[in-house]
Amino acid sequence: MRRGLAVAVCAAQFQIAAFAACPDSQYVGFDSRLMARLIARLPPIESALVDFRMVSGEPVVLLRDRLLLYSGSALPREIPVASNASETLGISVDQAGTVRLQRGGQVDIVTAGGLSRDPDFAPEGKLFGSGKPVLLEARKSGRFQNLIFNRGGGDSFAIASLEGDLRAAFWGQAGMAAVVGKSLYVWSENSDDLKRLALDTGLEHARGVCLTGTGRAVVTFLDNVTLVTAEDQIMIVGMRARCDASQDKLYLADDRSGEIWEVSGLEKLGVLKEDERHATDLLKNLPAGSGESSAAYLEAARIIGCERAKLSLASPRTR
Amino acid sequence: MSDGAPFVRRWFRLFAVCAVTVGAAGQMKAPPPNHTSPLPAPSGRRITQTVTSAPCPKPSAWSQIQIPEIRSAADLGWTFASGKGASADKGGSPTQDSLKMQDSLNKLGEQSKKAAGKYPDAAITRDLGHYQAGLQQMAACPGGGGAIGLAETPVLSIRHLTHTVNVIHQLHEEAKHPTFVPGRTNFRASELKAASVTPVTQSTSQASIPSIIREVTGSTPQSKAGSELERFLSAGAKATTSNTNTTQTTVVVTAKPAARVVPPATAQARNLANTGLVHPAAPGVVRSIKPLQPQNVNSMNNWIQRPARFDPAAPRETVGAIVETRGKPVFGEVDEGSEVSATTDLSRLSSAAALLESVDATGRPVLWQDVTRYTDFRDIRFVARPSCAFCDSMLGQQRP
Repeated sequence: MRRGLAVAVCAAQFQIAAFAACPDSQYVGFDSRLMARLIARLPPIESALVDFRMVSGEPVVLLRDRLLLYSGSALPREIPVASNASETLGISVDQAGTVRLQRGGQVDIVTAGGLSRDPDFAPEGKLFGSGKPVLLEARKSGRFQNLIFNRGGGDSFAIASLEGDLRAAFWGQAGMAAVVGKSLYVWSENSDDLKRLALDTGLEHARGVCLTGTGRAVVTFLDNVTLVTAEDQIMIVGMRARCDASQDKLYLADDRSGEIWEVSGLEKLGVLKEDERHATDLLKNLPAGSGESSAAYLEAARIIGCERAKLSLASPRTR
Repeated sequence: MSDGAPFVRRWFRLFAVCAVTVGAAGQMKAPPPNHTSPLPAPSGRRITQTVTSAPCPKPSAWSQIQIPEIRSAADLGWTFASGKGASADKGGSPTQDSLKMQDSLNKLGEQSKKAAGKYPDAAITRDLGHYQAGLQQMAACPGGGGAIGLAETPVLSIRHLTHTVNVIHQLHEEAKHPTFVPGRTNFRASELKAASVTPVTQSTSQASIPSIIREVTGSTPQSKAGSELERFLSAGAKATTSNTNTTQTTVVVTAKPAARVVPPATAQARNLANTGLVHPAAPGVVRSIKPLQPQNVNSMNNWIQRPARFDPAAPRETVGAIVETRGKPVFGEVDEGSEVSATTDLSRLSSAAALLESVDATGRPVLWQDVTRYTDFRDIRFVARPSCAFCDSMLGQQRP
């Protein structure tokens, strides 16, 4: 009599359990050393996220046709944005918390009444800024990207000219980061060298980049967010996200769910030995009876690879 | 990488478990706990031999349901609980039953989606109460009359009926009729933690519900944890303040989403293809690029920290002159160089982590609208479509 129901319930069990083992599945939750908090959620929308910044702890989200500004309420304030699909679209925030919306060569300041034209900026490229006194502009020039600090009113200072196409850039409290071509460059303010942190074909698919500390860049890809340091590259969550960073916090806007997360504890990641030790500890402390389907095992496998995780699991010394 | 055999073995083991469960359900007996049979069962024939009819009438409480969508849900549940919708009676297979019910659920889901925001919270809560009362009436029948199965089946989701009914109400119903769902324990723990007066500072992923309740209410005995949880959840349909009898601790539940601690380990995705995920250690491509003239770095830092351009104290001309005399950027032109070849670690990492679908704590696909319609945190996991046609058919369909 309850067969239909039981079958339905069993079917649900199938879909949960049928792909639960490494390497059939991969752990994509937050690294368990991180603290992640859900701080806001976008209303139901159809259009994709174009840009995302945090202003005084509140998210500002740019969609293709709307700008959403949160300010202490669960519901954001909306400002309609008319733009062409072909023109550069982005938002930047300066040290004073002024939000600027760029549409092609035009820049508007977001005010209480809506949008107000900012005549001081007429960018030739794309503007970036997350709480700094000046903005960063990336201008294409031949096969190079010219990175220029722009204060507006024609007041600018060129920092570097990098070979390749611009994938993403960031200019915030921890410094500047840019993914150009297959390279990830970082520069911390007052530092006397510009560092290439990674040279990897995967960077050609970077969607965003943020700097969370000296020499610590977070790169967002189509389906994951990865911390890149000089000695390690470690996925911190499997999420289709846009990022921003402030102080030691990382902010992620999930393209798929519309959730906006605040992530802290990134300083614990990115050191090769520590990351591997964390994976080993996860395997050592697996609860009795839990196997390859447990989240801890899958997280460890994400760090050290499935084969090594399997070997560790099988080793009596490890268990 | 896997040759697929373990997956097939797991599949058949699960299938066997379900076949046993279905058979046991047909005999009006609870399935043995933790039963795992290593062999596939001849499911269809066995079920046909164990069919019994429902011994109890349709619950009278369901006749009081006013909202058509909820009434339809009850009728649908009754159809299957009473065996009228089971094709196995007519020689069909469990899969056909499942698909038939799935189809009905989809239609119901469409109906309830169209009813979004149509009814007031009070009416929905009242009718859900009638629905639950009906389940209890069924449970009072010999053998339970299929009430357990109905309570465990997501026959009705309030998410499509309203924008405003709090998900905690649904939790309350789940507390009354608990089912095992991976991640739900952590989900509840998070809810309790988030609703406590003290701001959250630690992850609750490893904490058990009783320990959380002790934390919220002071020193609740473990034996009363279940009822305390239920009472706590009961209070959460709307923003309320209540004093527990045992400890007099004030518990405030707000409808506004609060900052939440996430259970750190509830997401999975399929590892696409044989990407050979390894730890991409020590890239070896780090390169330090020095400025063309060291003093230019100081000039640039000073320039960045200067007062805003409209500050009359700012000697803009001087700054402009410095820029002009530079001619080149501080770090000059940087090419990617050919001294080292690009690695592919990040590329492999990315392809290994491709997400295909997100699901909620019950394993149902989550749509953007669904997620954002909740007024509280929900344990969202990411999973991939399993590589089998049957699973695909289950996952690909939207459910209420």
